[in-house]
Amino acid sequence: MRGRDRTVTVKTSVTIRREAQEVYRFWRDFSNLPRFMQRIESVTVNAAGRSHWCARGPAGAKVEWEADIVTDRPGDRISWRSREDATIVNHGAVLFRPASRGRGTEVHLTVGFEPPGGAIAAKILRLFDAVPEQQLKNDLRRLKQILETGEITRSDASIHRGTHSARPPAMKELPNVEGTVQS
Amino acid sequence: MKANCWYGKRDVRVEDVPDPQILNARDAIVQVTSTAICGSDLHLYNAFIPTLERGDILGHEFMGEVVEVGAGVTNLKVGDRVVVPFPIACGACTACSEGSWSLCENSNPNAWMAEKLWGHSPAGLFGYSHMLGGYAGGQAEYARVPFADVGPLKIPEGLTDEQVLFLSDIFPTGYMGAEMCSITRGDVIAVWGAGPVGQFAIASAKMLGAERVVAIDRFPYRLRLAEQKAGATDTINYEETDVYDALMELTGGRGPDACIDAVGMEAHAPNFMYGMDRVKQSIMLETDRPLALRQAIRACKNGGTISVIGVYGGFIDQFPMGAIVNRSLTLKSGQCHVHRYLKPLLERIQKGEIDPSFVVTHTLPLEEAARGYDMFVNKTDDCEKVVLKTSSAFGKQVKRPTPGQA
Repeated sequence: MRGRDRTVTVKTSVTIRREAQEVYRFWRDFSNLPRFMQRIESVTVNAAGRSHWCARGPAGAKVEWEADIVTDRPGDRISWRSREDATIVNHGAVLFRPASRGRGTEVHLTVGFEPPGGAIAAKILRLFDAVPEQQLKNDLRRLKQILETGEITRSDASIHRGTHSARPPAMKELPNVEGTVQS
Repeated sequence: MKANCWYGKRDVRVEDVPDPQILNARDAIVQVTSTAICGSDLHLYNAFIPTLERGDILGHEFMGEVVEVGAGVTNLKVGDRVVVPFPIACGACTACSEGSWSLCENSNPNAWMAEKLWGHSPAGLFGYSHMLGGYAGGQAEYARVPFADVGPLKIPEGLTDEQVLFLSDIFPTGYMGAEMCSITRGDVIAVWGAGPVGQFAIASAKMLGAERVVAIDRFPYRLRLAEQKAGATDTINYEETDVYDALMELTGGRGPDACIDAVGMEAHAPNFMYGMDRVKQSIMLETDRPLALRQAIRACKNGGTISVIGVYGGFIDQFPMGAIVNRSLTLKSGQCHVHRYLKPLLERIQKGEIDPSFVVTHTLPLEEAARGYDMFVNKTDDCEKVVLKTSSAFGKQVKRPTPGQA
């Protein structure tokens, strides 16, 4: 949704059949994020705890920024915020809540960014598909696959092109991050 | 390898395609010996299922020999003879842990597509559109089986392919249809559709203790099979007899205790509603023709159960919700949780309680898949069930290229 201040906020969630601490630990190692977040190419963390994010859009648009951790409560939540001088001011928060009846952990993700005007804004918006909620939901689904089954699930459609078995459906112009399905 | 590919409405062709490869550590590659054409494949053949694409390999009933296993598969080895369940299930998510294998939360890489249509995604299926995973099907010389440590059932010596092949889908599907009826001794069960799934629903209803099982279809040869082999006590040809009246006559006016819809989205009926539904379906005002389902709901006794195992894809019109609410009917459905039934049903086969091969009317080489589809869809030559055999089943050695070469 887009607020009056032009902040774009996207929320999505998934339930993972793992303990909150385990999900937290996986997420807290930011270098794991590119394994399941399709738009994130790399996240590197320096000794001071500051992270450097590199993201790429469907048309190849590349955006980088630095972020600091704002909240870090093991097994409960992690939030981060880009530095004020970032090209896109953005923030994210992930909450880990026990799901009822021992069904594991609910992962609630909120990502927001404040696009500046002009060409850069257009570039940033290209980072997302028409439906950013869908993209983030797919990201969380891949996280679930990794934590529950050990790997990201792949079908023949995720590798073959041309007349074959099961070819990729539309929405396929995305770069295929190693170890992820295109979706 | 050779595989049966979909090219458009009523157009399938056996083509040379690249061999499948191990893509995940828990994959296995199975060299298919026998594979069958399912009634639900006809919905694909007739182009009623969205997100199927030109070139897609069809088939979700198959068995064969393991020829390659990924590093994460420890329970299978090369040479094992296995039957593969049609839903793909990870065995680790909440749905799998609760036995709802066809609702596996991790096996559909294109879950977002199914979510758009249905709200949530079920499991991925072999050879059944991109919306359900984009997995290559088993009407082929080789098939990649994901989560091979969870799904495939090893087959003991002494059983033919035809005796165990249908554990992949139609036997468990029919069985689950009967199980959903919560049959108690003395019940009367009516089954719409005497196709292969209907035959197994009838046989299962008998095994579960039904006193009378009524088969409803329009093809005399199918009704004969139901009576002679599956164990139906009564048959109704709906083109000759009013189904509602006949069922009331059979049940002293009560209606059947439970009704099974083994027909699904492409039902036929000799009446005005059929024409209306066909028109609406052709212009996409509704995607499915629910004629059998409407009839089943109308005939079912007060407080009875409607068990839907026929495949529906989207939306139906003129749904008699009033009958369900005011007559306390229970509607149960689901794609079969095949994994749940593999071992118990294999045991029944081993004990000789049932020989599922009774449904097979045609055995063709894989290369003649198109002829099989044509016979099955047009019900020619009294076609009930087509089994396709690959050349490996005929004892010829098929040279398998090294993985990745294709």
